[in-house]
Amino acid sequence: MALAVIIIAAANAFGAIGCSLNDPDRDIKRLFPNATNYKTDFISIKDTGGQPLADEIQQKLGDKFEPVYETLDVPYAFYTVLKNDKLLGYVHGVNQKGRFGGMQLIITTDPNGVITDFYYQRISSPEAKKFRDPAFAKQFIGLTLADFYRHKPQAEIKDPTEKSNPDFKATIRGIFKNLILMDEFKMNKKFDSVYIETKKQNDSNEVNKNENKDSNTN
Amino acid sequence: MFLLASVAAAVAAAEQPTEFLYKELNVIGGYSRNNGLVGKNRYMLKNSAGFEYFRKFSDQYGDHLTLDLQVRYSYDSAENSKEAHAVEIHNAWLEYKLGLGESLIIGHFDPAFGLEPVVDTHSSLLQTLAMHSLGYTKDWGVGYKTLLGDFDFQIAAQLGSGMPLYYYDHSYMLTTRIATPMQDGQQLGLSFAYGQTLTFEQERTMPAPDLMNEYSEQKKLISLDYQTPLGPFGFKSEIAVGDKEGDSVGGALAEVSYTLPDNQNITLKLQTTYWSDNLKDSRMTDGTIAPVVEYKINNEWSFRTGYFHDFKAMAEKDRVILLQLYYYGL
Repeated sequence: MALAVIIIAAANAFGAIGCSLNDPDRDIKRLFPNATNYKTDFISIKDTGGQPLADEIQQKLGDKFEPVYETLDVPYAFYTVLKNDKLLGYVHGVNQKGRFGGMQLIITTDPNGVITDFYYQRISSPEAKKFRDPAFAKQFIGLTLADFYRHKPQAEIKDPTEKSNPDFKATIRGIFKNLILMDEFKMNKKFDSVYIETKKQNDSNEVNKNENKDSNTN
Repeated sequence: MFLLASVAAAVAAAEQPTEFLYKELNVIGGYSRNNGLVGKNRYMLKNSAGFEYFRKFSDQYGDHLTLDLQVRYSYDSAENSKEAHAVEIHNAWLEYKLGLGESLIIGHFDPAFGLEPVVDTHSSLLQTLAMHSLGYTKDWGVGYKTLLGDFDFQIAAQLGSGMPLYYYDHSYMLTTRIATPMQDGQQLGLSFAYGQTLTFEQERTMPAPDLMNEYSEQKKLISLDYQTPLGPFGFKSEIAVGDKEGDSVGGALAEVSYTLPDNQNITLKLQTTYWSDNLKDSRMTDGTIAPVVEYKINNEWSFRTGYFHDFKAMAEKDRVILLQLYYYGL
């Protein structure tokens, strides 16, 4: 009978890993044509810094982690791209909650953390085609985490869709989170000085705003 | 010898390895209209516990070697005490990288045929056509993967025995698959299989299972598989046709999935499968439609339930409800 062939099949090795590349060799070759190989690291927030690190990342992101896609124990796959033993750049993907399920956002950076490419490995959306349009993705090229801390892309990059604004906002958030993780795990917190400077500025703006509000009330 | 020497060199040169040890628990059961409570060997639905050990070896020039070992212990209370305990080896492979996009694999791994090597059937209730076409999902042997221009290419030479490491009656299986690269979630694959496979009464590695037939069965198969996102839906399909011991065989599978936007822990799936062991004889056909609900309790625990309705059956049509609780975590 038909059901007799149902078995519980073997698992894929990456069953519990957050957003690894579908076809790493082909993807790396396409993204870095001069690459000879890459090194894969699996890093989790839980093993690296636990709850204090999670709190720090959420503070930088300005948002809480989502309980399905962003648990602390999920290992993130980081691909360090090499030409022989010379560093060419990094590839990293994150899972991000979208309107119709998980999105997988992949970015590549040069060794200094400048985005050299961005694409959706997975997106479920009635307007997926507009998100996958190279003209939209191109706007992220050249940006760094410093730009996200200064809210430049959040203010300047426009939603390419008519009815999928939540997925657009999720994309911006996902790329921001992706860059923060890359900075934490691979770039030795290179952009922390920008974060601190921007935070001070925002705090001081907030204080000024409150003072003005108080004086107007009086 | 070359592979073993390369493996030894890669291990010796490795920097701090990346490794994981996942624990796994599978509790499954259900109710069949024909057979009452199920969950025993009749449906090959065995409760099991096991682990998966995964390790990557790298040096300053990048990754060289990957190891994966996934083993489960299962207990089947319907068998006598000697037969009830079993060890199932699922993944047991070493992959050695020859260059970017090129590698050799040895051990127990997916044949290069159909959807099975490219979809995640991670303990899912819904499977591919592999159990109908080849008779198993993984086999022992060697394989080679490379990038052929714009296509992904893989080839495997395996024992034709499936889960047990078993050679008998000149059994073997050669498979090859060529596919477009996975782009925007889309992939089209074309595969061929040629060989002689063994059929066993039990699905296990140790103790060695009993042969169902005292001979290996000749198979020649061709398969076309396709997967793509369709707006908010996921779609997978597979068609396979060929010849088994002189009989024309064939079948198809289609599956649609949808994740609830407002509760993304829940995914709904609908799969229909059709398989004929003799395309000229309508009595030799299995056909099932199965809606399944998957609920992700958290990152480690999942609950799945499905209703399997036979619209065609070689033996007796059945209707079955299955429930599964599954754990996979570090």
